[in-house]
Parts: sequence; C-alpha cells; structure tokens
Amino acid sequence: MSDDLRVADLHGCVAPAAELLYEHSGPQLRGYWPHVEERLLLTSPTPGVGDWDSSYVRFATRRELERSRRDDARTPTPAPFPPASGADADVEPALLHDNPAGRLRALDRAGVAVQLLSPGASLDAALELGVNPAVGVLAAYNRWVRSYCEADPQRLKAVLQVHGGEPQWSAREIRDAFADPAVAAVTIHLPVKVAPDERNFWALWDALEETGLGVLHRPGASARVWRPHQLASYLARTGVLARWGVPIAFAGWPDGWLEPWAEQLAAPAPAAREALAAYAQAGRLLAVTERLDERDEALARLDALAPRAVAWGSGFPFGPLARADALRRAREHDGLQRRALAENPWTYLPAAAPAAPLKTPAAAAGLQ
Amino acid sequence: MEALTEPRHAVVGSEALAALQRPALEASTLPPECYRSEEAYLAEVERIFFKEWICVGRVEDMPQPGDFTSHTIVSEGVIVVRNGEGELRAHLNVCRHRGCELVNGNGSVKAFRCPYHGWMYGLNGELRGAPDFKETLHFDKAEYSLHPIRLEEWNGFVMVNLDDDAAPFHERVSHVTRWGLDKYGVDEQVTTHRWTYDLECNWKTYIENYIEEYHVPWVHSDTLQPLTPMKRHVEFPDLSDQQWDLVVAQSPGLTLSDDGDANFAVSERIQEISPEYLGLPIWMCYPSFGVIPMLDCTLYYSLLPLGPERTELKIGMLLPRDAAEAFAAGDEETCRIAGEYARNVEGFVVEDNAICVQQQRGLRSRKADTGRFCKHEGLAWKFDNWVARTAYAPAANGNGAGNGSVAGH
Repeated sequence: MSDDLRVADLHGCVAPAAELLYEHSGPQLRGYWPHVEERLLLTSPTPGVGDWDSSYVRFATRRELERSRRDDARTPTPAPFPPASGADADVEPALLHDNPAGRLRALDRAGVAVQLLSPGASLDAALELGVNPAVGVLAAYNRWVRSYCEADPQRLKAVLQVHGGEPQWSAREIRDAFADPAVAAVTIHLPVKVAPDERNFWALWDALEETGLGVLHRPGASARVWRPHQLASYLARTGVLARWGVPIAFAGWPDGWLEPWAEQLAAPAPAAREALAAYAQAGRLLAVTERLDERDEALARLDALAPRAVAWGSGFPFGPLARADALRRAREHDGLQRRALAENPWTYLPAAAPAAPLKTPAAAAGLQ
Repeated sequence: MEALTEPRHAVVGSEALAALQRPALEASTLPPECYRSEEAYLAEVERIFFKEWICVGRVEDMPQPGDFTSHTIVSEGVIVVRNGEGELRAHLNVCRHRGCELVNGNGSVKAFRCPYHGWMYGLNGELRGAPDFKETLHFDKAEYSLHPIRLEEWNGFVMVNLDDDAAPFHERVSHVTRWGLDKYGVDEQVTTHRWTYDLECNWKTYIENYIEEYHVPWVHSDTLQPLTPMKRHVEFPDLSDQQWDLVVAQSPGLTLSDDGDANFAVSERIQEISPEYLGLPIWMCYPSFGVIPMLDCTLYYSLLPLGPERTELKIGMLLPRDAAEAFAAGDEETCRIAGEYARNVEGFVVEDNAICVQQQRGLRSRKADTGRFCKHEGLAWKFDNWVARTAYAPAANGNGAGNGSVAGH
C-alpha cells in the first residue's frame, strides 16, 4: 500500500447504554425520564462485541417490552446485537459504550485511519417514545457521541442523529454541532408520515448543504418505508438532490439491496433515472458495504456503472475490522478495494480528508 | 466502616466483668445499666452490629434482576439487589455525590437513580451516569461506585456485614451441620408470613429470652410448655462455638399445627439427624439471627437495636416451596393450614414480646441490680459473656482503662 493510502470505514457501531444517554441528557429529557424508564430494558451484555461486562439498560421496542413481560424473564433481555462470529478476536471491552481508546487501538491494528460511528437498534427504539422525548434522546446521543469522539476527533467521527419530525430542531442541531471536528455526517430519522421533500423539511436540507455534511441513511432510521433505492429514487424524483448538493450514503443495510440498486442505475430510463445514475457517478449516492469482493457480480456491476459509488463500512465491532486481503489488493491495485477503502470515502467526507497522511502506529510500522 | 464513637472507658467495670466471667452457676448477670445506657448501646453498635453478620431477609424476597430491598442497620442504610447476572449484591444506600439516600423500601429498578441530582448507578453499584460532570476536573466515575457491602447467601438467608474484614459467614457457621440444620431443606423453603415488631426493650433481653428455656413454663404455660416442656430442653454448650448456640426441645419432631402433625412435605433427610437433636432445635447465631427448623416449616428471627431500650424484631415463617406456591396462589386448604401455623406462631411470640418489654421496665429501676443464672440459663450466660468481651472492653488505645465504667464500679 502506498504511504498516502488512508482507509476510512464509513460504518462503525456504538451502542451507548441508556445510563450514558441520561447522563448527557438535557433538562427536558430528564423531566421525561420517569416515563422514559418504562421503555427501558435491563440487558445482558453480549460477549465479544465490546460490551460492558455487567448488565445495563437500553431502550427497547414495544415488541421487546411485551415479550419480556410475557416471558416474566428471570434474566435480563439479551442485547439485540448480532452474534460476534467473524468479528475481530481482540475487540476490547466496553468500546461500544465508553472505551474510545480501545476502539482506536483496534483501528490501529487494522490500519484504518477514520471510522464513522453510528448507533444501533436501541437508539432507534427511542423513536417510539414520541417526538419530544425522542428528540431529547437524540440530542443526548449527539452529546454523548461527540464526547466519545473527543479521544481523537480526527479519527473517530460522529454521525449526528436528527429527527425528521422536527426539522427546525434538526437544523439547529446540525449547525450547532458542525464546528466540532468530530462531526462528519448526519442520520435523519424519518417517521413514516414525514416526506423529506416537504417545505418544513427544507430547513434541514439547507443546514446540511450549508455545513457540507452528508446524510448517512441506515436501517432503523426510517421505519420500513425508505429502503435505500426507494429513498434515492424519491429524492431524485422530487428534486431534492438537484436543489441541495448533499451526498447520501447508505450504510448498514443487508447487501441484498445492491442488486436492485445496480439494476436501477443501469436501466435505460427516463430523465429522472439518468439523473440518479449521474448522482451515483458523482459520488453523491454512496453504497456502503461490508463486502469488497471484486468477483461479486452486483458489486462489480455497481462499481463499473459508478466507480465513486461504493465505500466500505465494517459494522465493527459486529463485523470484522481487519480486511487483510482487501487491504492487500487496495495496496497493489487501482481497483474496487482501493476506491472503496481509501478514495471514495473522502469524496463523502471532504472535511475529514487530511492534507497529509495520518501516521497511525500501523502506518508507522509499515502496515499501511 | 468508620466508627461513630469509641467507648471512652470500660462499659462494664472490672468487678462486674469478673463476676460475669465466673462459671455460669457462680456468675452474676450483666449489670442493668448494660440494658439501658447510651454508652453500652453505642459500644454494641460499633463493635457488634457494625462488625457482625446480620440477616436482612431471604433470597426469594428478590427473585428477579433489579428487585431490591432496603434495610437500616442502626444508622447505616443498605440496599440488597439482584443484579443482571442473577446474583445478589449489597451496597450502602448512599449516593456518592452528596450523600443522599438512594431508595426507600422495596421495589424493582433497572438502575438506581439518585432522587437529588440524578446520579445513576448500575445494579452492581457502578456509577453509570453523572449528569453535568464533564467539566469537573479529575473526576473518574470508576472512583464513585456505591460502597459495596459484604453479602453472603446461606440456606436461602441473605446475610450482610458492614465490616470489610469480617470472617466469612459460611466459615463461622460451618459446624451447624453437626446438629443437622442442612437436613431440613431450609434453603428450599419460601417465606409465606412475616412479622415485624418494634419492642420497647433492649435487644439483649430478647436474645437471652430466646436461648434460655427457664421461662417456658411461666411465660408459655398454655402454648409451648404443653408441647415442649422445659424438662425436655437440652442445651449443647459443647456443640456450640463462639458464634452460635443451640438448645433443643427434644421430641420425635415438631411442627406448628394444632394437632402436632406435619401438613406439608417433610424433608426425607430429617431421618439422618441424630435423635438428641430432633424436636425443636432453637439455634441462635450471634448477635441476633435465629433459626428454628421444624418438620415441615421453619421460623427465623432477626433483631436490630433501634436504641438502648428499643429493638426491631423481624420474624418469618418458611414453608416448603410447593406449599408456599399453593399459598401464594390462594389454595384454600393450604391457606387455612398456613393460617393455623401463623396463629400458633403469634401465640407464643406475643408472650415473649410482652415479657421482654416487662423485664425492660423492671431494669429501669434505680434499685435494679445484677442477678444470677440457673442451670437452664447457661447459654444466656455464654451470650452475655460474648457481648461483654466483644463490646465492653476498653478501647485498645487505653483510653478506657482506669477511667471508671458505666456499670459495676
């Protein structure tokens, strides 16, 4: 790998316990807290994914709460994290919650320069609380994740969480947080009944364009309505992408959507679809995937159609962070791996792209 | 645990102590001042109740993760909680921020949140959330966990100790198997009835009453005496050790029913108990934890001093798990029988309570003086000696020696 090859991971995961969100909450959420407590579940730690080593509380969906009451569980509900199989063997304890130093060490070992951090299902479950408490939880999360990234804001990057049902608050949150060097992208939680082209929503797009932050759209942030290709298509068709130059990355989705996405981009089509392809080719629409196998048909096709439209997201600590083979190929070839690992992410994260390569311990040791 | 006070001088004078230390049938009782003076009380608190194992309930009181009970051991609030891993933990009931009591009573939580400024603690006592402390310099949450309290589960009882250096409870009572406590299946039983009494008497009067049979024909003439006459009570001073005592009202086996028959399941292992221990074994672990296992039920006692002349007495009745579940489900026949057992408990407990309060009133007299022990009060003599040895000796720094005493000049 050449010395200037800097790998960015657009999908690292955190899962702060509700106690930490409470700690970072504002007066409004603290006032709601006795009601919020009813929506919390005592949770068993999941071994091997950087969890705490003793139980904690997290937001739970209604379904989970009903199940736990029905089961009259004598043990805490397991965390909704996927099995750790395939994850790095040396994931340090607590890096999901409050051990950013451990995460940085993992990035060093893998030779990853920058990682975007997104929350998981437990934060999404808080959206069932209703708009006001949900906004309080998202604000608390934003404070928490920025505090987490303070360990090294040049490498740990926060994805702000905002609420589509409160675009004015969301716009303020984006502008207020933008000065923080750790803030690198925004996830908009889209309630079912909110359309992202509505006039109320414009303030949010304005704030994104003004700050240069991209959207990171992930599962759980938009109920079941907005799968990646549906949202991309909708935003193109309604003129949102034309009016606001905001890049949008789709991270954390099961890879099954890549095939229809490539199909959609390749289809001979009316103007709207051509525009969609153009946005992808310009790197404005970015498919973030864990797999980087050039022999994968859908991925190769997508890469051929829009070479700037694929980036890597590890899902760490639930997915493996080190991709030795991909890193080797990225080092040796100007192919998909190099684009996805070390080129396309910087189109999406222009503010995070440094002038000089970052000297991580791995780089210093010649691993990068 | 920091001491509130240290006795300024010997609580019991050397003459009174020497009189108590003579063989039981030559000894004098504790001076009455030991049952009413603030100084004796404070010495007992510091040297006994802040140092010894105290029973605060049963494991079934907290069946689910997050279930907690809170207790006050004299001045110290203690939370007992079942953590997420299913284990019981005990913490001091004091927020590490500015000392607010965290919880009151019993309940179920997912985390402990201080009602004052919202500090949040995990069930293992670790500080998980301290709002607005980001700017506070040199603040590490790991240094502000709730103070842990030692806890042990023993035969289903929850024992706590405020002294970090105390010997493990299991070790202290390891010899109880000699008389067969482990054969009754107490650990499999469940509490169905609880009684709490606030008694106007010194805690020692109740313990002495508990371990001597001399009062049975007089105080319990209509209740216990017909079932367990004094002549059948046997003390086992050789079996006892420094930490516990046993007196057995010998018979083939006793229960709490009106007709003397066991109505609930009887542990088969009771057959393994030597005959001399069969009947009504009355066991007392110093300072204030008593267990009385019977054929198909068990009574347990736990006492705490509330002041020199005030004591909290808690009694629980355990039934075999199946019976307890039927009782909880409202099974009519089980409830009737359990009610009969409970009524019989209340019958002799109120007699003991009344006589201890009456004795305390007598001990307040200016003319009250030391008494003597008879052959049926050997264990009371032993207990009093343990209290005097443990609590009334002058402080090690010598402050007390030669400075006089509260009792027995």
